[in-house]
Amino acid sequence: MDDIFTKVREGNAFHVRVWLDNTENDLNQGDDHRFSLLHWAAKEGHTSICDMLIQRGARVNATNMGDDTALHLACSQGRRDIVLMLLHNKANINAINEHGNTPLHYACFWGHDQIAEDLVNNGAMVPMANKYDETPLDKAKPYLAKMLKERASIMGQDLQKIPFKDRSWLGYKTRSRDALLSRHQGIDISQLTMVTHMVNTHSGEVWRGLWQDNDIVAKVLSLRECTVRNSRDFQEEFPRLRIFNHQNILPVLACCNQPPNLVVISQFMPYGSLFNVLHGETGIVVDQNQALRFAIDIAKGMEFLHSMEPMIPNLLLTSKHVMIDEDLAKINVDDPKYRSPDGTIAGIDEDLTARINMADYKFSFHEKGKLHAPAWMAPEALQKKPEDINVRSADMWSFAILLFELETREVPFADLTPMEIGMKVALEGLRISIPPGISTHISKLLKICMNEDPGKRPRFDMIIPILEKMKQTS
Amino acid sequence: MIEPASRDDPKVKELIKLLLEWINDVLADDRIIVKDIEEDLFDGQILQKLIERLADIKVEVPEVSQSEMGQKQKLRVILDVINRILTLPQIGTWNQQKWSVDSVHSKNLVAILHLLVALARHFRAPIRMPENVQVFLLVVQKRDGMLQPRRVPEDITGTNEDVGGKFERDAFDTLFDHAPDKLNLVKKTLVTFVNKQLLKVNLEVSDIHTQFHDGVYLVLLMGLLEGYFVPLHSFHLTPSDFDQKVHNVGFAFDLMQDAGLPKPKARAEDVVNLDLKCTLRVLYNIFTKYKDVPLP
Repeated sequence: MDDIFTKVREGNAFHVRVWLDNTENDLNQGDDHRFSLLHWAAKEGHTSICDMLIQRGARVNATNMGDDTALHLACSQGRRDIVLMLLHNKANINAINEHGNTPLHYACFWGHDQIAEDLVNNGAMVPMANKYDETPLDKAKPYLAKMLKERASIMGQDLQKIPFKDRSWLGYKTRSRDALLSRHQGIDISQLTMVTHMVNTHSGEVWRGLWQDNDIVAKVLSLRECTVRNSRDFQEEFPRLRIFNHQNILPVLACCNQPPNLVVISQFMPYGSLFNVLHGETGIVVDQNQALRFAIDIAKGMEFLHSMEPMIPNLLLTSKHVMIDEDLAKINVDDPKYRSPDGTIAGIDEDLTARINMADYKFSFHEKGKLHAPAWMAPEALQKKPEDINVRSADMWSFAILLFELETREVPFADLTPMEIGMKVALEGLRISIPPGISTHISKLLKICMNEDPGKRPRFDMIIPILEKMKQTS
Repeated sequence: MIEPASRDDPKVKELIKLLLEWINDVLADDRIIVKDIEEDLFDGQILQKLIERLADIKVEVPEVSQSEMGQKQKLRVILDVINRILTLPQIGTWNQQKWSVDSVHSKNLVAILHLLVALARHFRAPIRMPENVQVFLLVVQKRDGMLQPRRVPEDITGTNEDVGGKFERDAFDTLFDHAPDKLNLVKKTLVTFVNKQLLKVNLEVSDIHTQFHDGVYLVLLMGLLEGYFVPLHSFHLTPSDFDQKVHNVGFAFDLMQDAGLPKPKARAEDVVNLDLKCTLRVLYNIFTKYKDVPLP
């Protein structure tokens, strides 16, 4: 395929859409100078492509090598509709590039009066100085400077000059991803640096390590013996797990297929799984609103997976298979909201996203005949083969259990062993009991999603609007 | 000559049926179906395929031969191969043989039965042969110028006790041979151990000999001990025939090996065939690994 960066610059929206539909394409990749697709679309003023990229989960605040965000580029090129779109999607309005310039510096310098005004109206700091101790007002023509100054003081800004502070060492910048990441399918095990052994689970040995300077997790599948056939199936199955084009899916980055070792590599997530965040001792506060956001994230991820044709089989939805990521696109490091007095970032809990971990996919030959988390599974999925049931409906049941977990913070059937849970849910009608304290909306939704008749359970695209509405009203 | 009444002996009939099924199972991939144990085996054609499959060897003989001479020639080679595998003396030596080129070729039922039983034993055929099968032979002797018929009993199968004797003797052999009274103690310990787990899913075992043969409890036991649920589609919760039971036991064996237990010496078929010693060995294996695991 032709270079996608060229297509974005040319504004070939159709081509870009087709490219985005390919799950293996990482829309957050950067070119040689780490310009992301969003950078180019913003720079060239292709509004519809920008919109498409943001909808698909492009990181709004990704930076290129000069630490410019897409907003910097849109401002200097005078793309007003794109500036507004970026601001609407939580672009960092006071982001500074390597020269210490904010987007407002550029809008003023290039004389985009309207944009400069928009920026100030949305909270751009007029007195921010760059490396050369110039504020945006120093860059603006006198009449514009005067106007912005007045506007800023009406907005309640302190017009005292804010000196330049080099923050690049903080490492909070989120450069566009190394495009190489999504280009590698199979890699050699010797390219991995295993740093620490994290845990041994039933499914394999999990290591934390480095691969091409990326913080990764490598899972070495547990196998009694690795046959030629296992290796072949592995080779056939893993490429489908490399889904880079959805924000709520955590892709498998690459795999090593070197019998006896079959290794699955994914990004390291410091917060761990949703199970860990909800039930572990992480100290992360998940309030009602965040719980709903997680639910929406998961529903969106599932909706996407269900839209794939053919669907990826053997993906079991449980809170252990959902990872929690910082929503880098939404963190405004320089936003006062996030700054605590000691200079560290506070309130980060507000901006966590849930992503379905493709590395937890169960390979067809792996752990045959064993289910370690039957508590999340629909009764029919415990009894019948996946090909004999409606997998989408069964996933909806699993989602309901997750919703229950998010609401109650309880581990479902915590006092029973997996075998007991499976036998009782499958054969004796054991179900989770919805505690009385739970909101009526949620308890209604739970009942719908856990309908005993799989055919009567809703689809994910039907419940996303319901969840969105709950979030707005709460 | 075999006494005609012996042919109708239910035990003999059953033995013949089982042997036929076994042969047909072994030869299924060759698309060979044997219908009659006497009529189909005499020319050595089937016997050749059988020994080739069982021992995984190739016997170099002409494919088909129509003449009696050719057939016998071929039969001799094949029986020689068989006897070598069974570590018996060469065919045609002076030793008393239960089968010979002539007896097999003349479709002598007794000889053919002896041969097949010996093969089934040697290759540990997954069938449970009836014990102590006996046929009566009519032996006609000329005595004092008179032909005198005599009935002579001939044992075809003994007891099945020796079947498991192919592998090294272990504690269970000693237990069975020397301390049958201790056997009950072992059984009781195993039942207690197993029930401690099974009771969690409201199941209980009382007879270790018969209640494990279909593999269901073995599968559930592994799930309980290792902390997973086994989806009900991966085994037969209520097995109805031999094959389903063998599948269950074999599946349970897989789970045991996944859990790091040594590969069971017994075969799934032995457990299904209610071989007590094998069943006990399998359970004891599990017991040894998990006896100290506290109940959650």
